[in-house]
Amino acid sequence: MDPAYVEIVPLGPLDPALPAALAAQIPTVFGLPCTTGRPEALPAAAFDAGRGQYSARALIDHLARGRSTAIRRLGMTNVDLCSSIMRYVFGEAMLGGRCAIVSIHRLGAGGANPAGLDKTHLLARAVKEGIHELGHTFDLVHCDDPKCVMAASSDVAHVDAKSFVPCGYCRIALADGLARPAGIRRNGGR
Amino acid sequence: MRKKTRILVVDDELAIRVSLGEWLRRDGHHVEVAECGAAALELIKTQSFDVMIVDIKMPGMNGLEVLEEVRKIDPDLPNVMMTAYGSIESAVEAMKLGATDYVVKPFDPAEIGMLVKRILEHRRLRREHELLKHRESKFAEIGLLAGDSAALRKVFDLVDDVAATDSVVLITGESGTGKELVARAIHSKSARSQGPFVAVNFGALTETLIESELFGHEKGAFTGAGAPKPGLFELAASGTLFLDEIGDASPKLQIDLLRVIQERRFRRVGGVRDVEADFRVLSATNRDLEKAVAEGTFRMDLYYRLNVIQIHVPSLRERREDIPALARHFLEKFRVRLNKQVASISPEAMELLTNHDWPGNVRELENAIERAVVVGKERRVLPGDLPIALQRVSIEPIDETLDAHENAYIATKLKQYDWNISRTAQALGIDRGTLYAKIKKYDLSQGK
Repeated sequence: MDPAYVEIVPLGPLDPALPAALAAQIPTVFGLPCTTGRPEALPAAAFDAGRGQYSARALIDHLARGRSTAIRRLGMTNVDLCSSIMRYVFGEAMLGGRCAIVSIHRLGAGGANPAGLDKTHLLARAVKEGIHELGHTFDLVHCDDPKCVMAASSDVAHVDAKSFVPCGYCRIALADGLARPAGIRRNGGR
Repeated sequence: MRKKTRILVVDDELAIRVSLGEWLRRDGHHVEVAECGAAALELIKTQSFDVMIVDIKMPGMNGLEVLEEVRKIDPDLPNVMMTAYGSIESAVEAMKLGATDYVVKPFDPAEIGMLVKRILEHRRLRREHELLKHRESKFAEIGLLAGDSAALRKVFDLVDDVAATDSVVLITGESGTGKELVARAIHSKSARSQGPFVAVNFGALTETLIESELFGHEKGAFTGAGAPKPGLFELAASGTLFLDEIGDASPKLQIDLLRVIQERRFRRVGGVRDVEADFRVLSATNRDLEKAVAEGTFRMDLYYRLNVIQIHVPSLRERREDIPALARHFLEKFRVRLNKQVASISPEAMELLTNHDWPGNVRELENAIERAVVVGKERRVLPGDLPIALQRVSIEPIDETLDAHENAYIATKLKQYDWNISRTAQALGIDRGTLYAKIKKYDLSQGK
């Protein structure tokens, strides 16, 4: 049996430094090896013409359909994401699910927080949000500690305020999540 | 330790149910979804929720109609109406009908989380307000637990130990020793400290009244139940429920309590849906519950449920070394409150205070000092300013039993206050229920 690993899947044009930075941090937080898969084109069906954005859920479904032996697949893109209920999202994941998506569009790359942002800063934000979405797939919920990587972020100031790692409490919850196979949710309904 | 907020999402669109449900779950909430008004009403009839988020525009029963029906089942359930951009009028209509708030789809990511937080905070404040109306026990003075004796330090150590857990604690001790303060200290140091502290005194209320107070009732559950009312079990959610004078609970209430503690759920009187019981149980008694179990007046199974950890609060006799500090504490308190010049306690008066047996414990000491401050004419409390019962100790050493002394003391006080139970209880520093119990115990009557 192959050892468990996480796969990052670049969707659409993306600076290779972004998945590389995320791939370097994932083993530290999750204790799992991480590879970066071949870049894939964005599926046209995921584009919501009415809103001019990509559906985060449709991209997750696209990732789930892809062939891979990875225990988790994390898509990374630079397009603007939305959900059925939210005007925009930095990323999306199903609690205890296998796939997640993160976008750098509103982290400074897509005009929402434009000029002057250096690359290191953008990389830091992208890594934090990537870890955050991947954390949800291991059943971690939003944390009240603003420094925890699992703190909810609705703007980049929140992202900048948090660290790259889970707080002590979330680390314990993560240990439980890592022991559970994808698709098995905590407390039945989670 | 806090329970998850239970949110019901009602929307006919699957994508909205999934997306919003998942978003709220990631925020740590428990989410149930319903695809139409009828399904939502079925869920509300059988489960309890903290917030309902409902789409206004749905086929069949629309959001406004759902709101109207929900209000018949659970009028206190906060609800948020979702509306599409451009149909604000219906949201305004919903607010007029009593909706708690509304949001326009699609939302900003922070919006819904903040809205839920605001609603829950508002609900918590409203419940606290309800609690203040319910609470029949006054805030006791922290002075009851003042002191540095070894006996009291042992209590504080135990409080620290149990506060870190969610264990059930039985607090024992005589009347007036500060059992409720120990319970409050455990609550305030526990993970539930942000939740409410709800106290109910089994010695002060009748069985029927306590049942309604504890369980709450639905509209029409009995004559006079014109509106539904949450009980103390509900008001104690996420906090601590303090069962004071638990030894006075009737056999029926003992069974009811046992069931709630075991099953962690209950129903309002006249209700059909279960409500989750999410509180820590602390109880207190001045009675010997083991003896009550042996005599068959207290259920053994309930006793073992309540007596997981026991904390005994020492009587004032058992910590006499604390009396001088306590007396000075109360002197300062009443000097300021009554605007008097008295500044100290004479050595003779302090000796009387230290030698007295204090059957009413710290409350009795407090009353004695208040009396001394009121009647005293000097800058020091003198023996003559103290109650007669204390002065008697010095001139006539008592060789009778403690019970005999207590009997005589209570009889004197009853006579002094012309058998006015409230005033006598106040003077003795005990509650009315305890005084009735003492009258019964010593077979006292007005004619004797």
